[in-house]
Amino acid sequence: MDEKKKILQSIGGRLQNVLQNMDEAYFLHIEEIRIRAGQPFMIRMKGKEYVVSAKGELMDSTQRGFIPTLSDIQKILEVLSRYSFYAFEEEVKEGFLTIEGGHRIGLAGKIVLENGKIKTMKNIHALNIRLSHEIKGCADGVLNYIVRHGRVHHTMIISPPGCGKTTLLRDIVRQISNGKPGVCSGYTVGVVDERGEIAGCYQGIVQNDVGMRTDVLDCCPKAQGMLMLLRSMAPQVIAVDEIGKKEDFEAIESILNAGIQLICTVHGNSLEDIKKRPILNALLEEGVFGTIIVLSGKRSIGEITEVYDENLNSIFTKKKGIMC
Amino acid sequence: MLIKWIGIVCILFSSIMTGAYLSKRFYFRAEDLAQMRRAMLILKNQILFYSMPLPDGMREISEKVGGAIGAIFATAAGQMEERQGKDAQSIWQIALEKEKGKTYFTSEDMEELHNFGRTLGYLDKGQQQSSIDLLIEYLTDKEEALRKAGQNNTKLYGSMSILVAMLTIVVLL
Repeated sequence: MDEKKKILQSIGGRLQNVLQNMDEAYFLHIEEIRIRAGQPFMIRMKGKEYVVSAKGELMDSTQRGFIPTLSDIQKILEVLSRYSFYAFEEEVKEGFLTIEGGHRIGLAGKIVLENGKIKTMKNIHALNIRLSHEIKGCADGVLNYIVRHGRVHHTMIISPPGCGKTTLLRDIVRQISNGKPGVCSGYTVGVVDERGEIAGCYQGIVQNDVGMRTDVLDCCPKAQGMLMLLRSMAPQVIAVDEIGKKEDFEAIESILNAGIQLICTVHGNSLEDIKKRPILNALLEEGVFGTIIVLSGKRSIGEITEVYDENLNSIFTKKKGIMC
Repeated sequence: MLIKWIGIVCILFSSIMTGAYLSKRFYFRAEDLAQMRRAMLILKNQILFYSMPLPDGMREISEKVGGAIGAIFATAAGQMEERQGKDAQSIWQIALEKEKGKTYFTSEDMEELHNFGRTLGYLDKGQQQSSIDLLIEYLTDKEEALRKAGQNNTKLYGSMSILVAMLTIVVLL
């Protein structure tokens, strides 16, 4: 099914008509669809933001385009959730829901608290639809750095938000799980998918291709998930997205002690950024990570700018375009 | 003379059948209400315990309940599965209107069912449960009232149909 049809099927009401008028070619590149009640309807494509008119024309963000209402947002939520908003109660508490196809819908509205904890969200007035684009083969360039001397190295991917770290992680997982002739045989991979972005599980079915030897813990807190996988699924490699909490590092210590290889991502612009964080810096100084990949979105999304080894020596840099 | 007797028999037969049909209408409506209540109980169960998506739930109900009520759920499930961007309220209304000819629901019942459709699709579990409970309460009350009134009505329509037939025969003779 083509991208346009898939997206149109997920969006109901007047917004569907607006998108219907848009050029089909755009749909391959849409990264985000921003819908805010009373504000212009916007899309993000190839790193640039556009306002969309009622006729589906793209305009720069200084202009007023089509203005969605609260009712439009309610209708979109209905269709996005397959008329089953109740089925996403736990996810709504986290502020997002994952729909068929692995796309993630960020929500903003009024938070309802009960005993100091988030019970639900009501009066949802803004949606951020992040379209999941699987790019098979995007990890080809880094796989030889991750798998060296016939084994997978602990790997950290450093990237600012929205620069393709999850897409890269997904492809690394897929390739390591399936195995690649001449690079590695297949490994059993455990994925802790706290926000449902890596595997994009929907109703228990993995939507993205994460490989044939991959077990996914969907919507599970990272620290608990890593320990659960360690105890239950005997993984050889564990992959997690966006580590950062204190408890994540405690769990990482356990899996390192168990001899399991870790592939993780972390928010940051450069290696220097990461060195400023005491716990992460300690891991770097101990030489835990055999491969450190730095992504940047400056020129294009998912651009690999630097790769470091365990001694923090650069083994690849984009500027020179050659192996150092 | 023979034609007269044939006429009398025809009048008697048609009048009694009309009486029987009118008295059975209560029974048929009560049956439809009971089936709809059963469907709503299944839906509530699917939502509360299995968080089942509405199209899948409706499809399952259509198979379990069957008949005219099952057809309403089958039509709604089909429309939802088509994913043409319609909201749940419109889909429910389309399904009700399409299948209403096969049911014995009154305009009052239809109004309650339409009202229920307004709450479909976007509520959380608690709210969705309340909305289903509200409809179940209406369906239960109406069904009980109809079943109570049903026995009296059967006798009433039975006697009335014979009386009307007799009156017609006397007048015509």
